[in-house]
Amino acid sequence: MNIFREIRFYFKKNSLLFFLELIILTLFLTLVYVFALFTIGINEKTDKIENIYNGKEIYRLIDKLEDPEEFSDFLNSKSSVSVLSNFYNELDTDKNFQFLSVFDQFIPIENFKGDNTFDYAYGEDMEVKGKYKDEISKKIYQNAKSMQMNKNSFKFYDIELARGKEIDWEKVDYSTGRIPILLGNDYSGIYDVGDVLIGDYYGKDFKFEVVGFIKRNTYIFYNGSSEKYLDNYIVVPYPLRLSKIDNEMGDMESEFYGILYSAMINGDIAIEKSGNSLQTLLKNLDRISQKTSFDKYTIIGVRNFVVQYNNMIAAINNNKKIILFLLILNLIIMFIILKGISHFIYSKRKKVYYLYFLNGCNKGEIYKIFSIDLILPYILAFILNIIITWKYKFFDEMILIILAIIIFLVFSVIYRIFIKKLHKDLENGFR
Amino acid sequence: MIQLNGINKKYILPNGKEQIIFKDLNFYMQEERSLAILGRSGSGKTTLLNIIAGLDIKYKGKYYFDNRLLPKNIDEMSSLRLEDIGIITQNYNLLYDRNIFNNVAITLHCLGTNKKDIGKKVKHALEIVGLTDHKYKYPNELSGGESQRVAIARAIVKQPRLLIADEPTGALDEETEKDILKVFKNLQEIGHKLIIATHSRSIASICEKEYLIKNNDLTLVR
Ligand SMILES: Nc1ncnc2c1ncn2[C@@H]1O[C@H](COP(=O)(O)OP(=O)(O)OP(=O)(O)O)[C@@H](O)[C@H]1O
Ligand SMILES: [Mg+2]
Repeated sequence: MNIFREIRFYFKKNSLLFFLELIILTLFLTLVYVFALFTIGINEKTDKIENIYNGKEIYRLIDKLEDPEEFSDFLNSKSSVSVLSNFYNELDTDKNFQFLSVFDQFIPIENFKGDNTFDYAYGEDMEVKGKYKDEISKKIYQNAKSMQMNKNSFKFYDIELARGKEIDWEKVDYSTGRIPILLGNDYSGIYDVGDVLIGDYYGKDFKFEVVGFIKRNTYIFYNGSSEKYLDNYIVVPYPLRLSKIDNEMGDMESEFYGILYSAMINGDIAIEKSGNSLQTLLKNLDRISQKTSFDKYTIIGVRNFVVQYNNMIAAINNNKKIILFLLILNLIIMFIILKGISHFIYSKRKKVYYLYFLNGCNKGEIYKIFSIDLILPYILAFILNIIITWKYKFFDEMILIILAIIIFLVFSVIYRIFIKKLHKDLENGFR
Repeated sequence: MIQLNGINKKYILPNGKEQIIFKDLNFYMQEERSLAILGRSGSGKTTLLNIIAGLDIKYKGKYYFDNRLLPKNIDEMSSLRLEDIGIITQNYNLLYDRNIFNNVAITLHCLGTNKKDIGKKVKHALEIVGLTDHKYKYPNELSGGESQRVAIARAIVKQPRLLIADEPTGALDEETEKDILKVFKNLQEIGHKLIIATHSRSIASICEKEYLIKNNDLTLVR
């Protein structure tokens, strides 16, 4: 007997139902796939959060230069700025805690090639400005999202690259006017490794050289709150060590460093959790303060982060439950629809099985035709799913195996129902 | 060739009641080349033919074919049909997804006949029933009589020893019935045995014997 001939006849009369079945199955599989990806994503995320914050306490160090006049006086004094540099260097190298300096100062980029999703205001409560002409320089700019980070934060948030090379921290030297940068993954196809962006960083022109791209979906916890994805960010490394300002330096230049350094001393401090960790921290900071003669800072706790973090995990788990519930509901509805369609197809194909039976085909051969009639949409849906996930780049072998098991189970149940029916029909001579 | 001993057959109705069709029915077919089975509608003609054809194995009693007691097993019965029995069903039972040629060829697909022989044999069967020109038509393009003839062609295409026909001329006009009659006569002459359930006098008259199903039993009337 030629099975393929039968498949051809099957398609001729049942293609509509077949495709309906195929679509339902494919949609369901894709849904399960997305759910599995989501779950894996959440698990990775909670793992990361736990890795980062477990057993740690976070405080924030902020400067007390809040009075504008005082601040501008401070900036104008080269020795004051030098004090800041000492203070930062001490914080950054201290062995008792990790100093995480991160700031999201936007950078106006000349002839920016990206669209508005990279705009500083995009996704924030601000109006997106887009490209604009600077009245003085007559150049076209766009304010691009940017995150400035020190080396400690890079390590702390475990930032990995998709391609390109890591920042060579020893060689980050702002005085050359050239800074190596990393781009978020959304920049792929817009800029490439080796490209140089020209931009304005705290009022000073810099050449930013792209050295690498950050892995997709990389995020940090900025301001001790929710995660910030770096996909549409320009990540600018802070210098490893800050140098003193010598008196030869021009006022404009020293003002730049003043602003930069004062931004850099604001940051999070991570310490190992213990009974008297705060006292130890304060003592250590006091020591640094005395050594560098800088005392215009204060320490605030960011314990609320832990609460936020717990809420977030709870929300995620809640969502997971809802989605799982919907998925099961979906499975049931799909099953009922599939059973209905299979029933319809069976009643249409019954005559074929009967005629083969009438003409002396044995049970096995009839079961074979029947099984192929039944299994085809399942196999095709599975293949389609592989193609879709491959095409949209969320292919995952593990999930595919789970999917294969699910589809096999669904098929088995349907198969059992209808093979019983067929068996009964064979015994009764299809009467 | 065929011997049915003490056949009891009943249907269980959906309401749980039993409907008795045969009670200790005996049936023999030895030398006769053809038998007609008569009986009122609902008397059990199709049921009897189904038992003989091995399509129905849910009965009590013994069935011998060529002096061999047949086990009530689906596959044993299938191989009996495959080798020795051609069946013309009461309804034409044509497949609307394929043309006349492929409707007839389905019998040979079960046998595993090669493509070339399928072509020849189907052509020959269609010649016998006079449908050569309709080979590529679809069942929905045929008249009732033509459909009946396709069903006959499908049954005779493998030239079975025994041909079972359930009302083979029920839907045909007299002229066509005569043609079919000739076909059956011809089949008898070349050595096929026939069992025909029929209401038609002329069909019954070509058979060597006539049986009647009445009161759950079978009686010889001629
Ligand atoms: N699968 C079944 N379940 C229950 N009852 C059945 C079944 N098949 C047939 N019957 C009943 O058995 C009886 C005999 O049916 P059968 O088809 O053998 O009659 P018949 O002699 O061929 O009639 P007709 O001349 O109308 O074809 C009928 O009363 C019918 O209703
Ligand atoms: Mg009948």
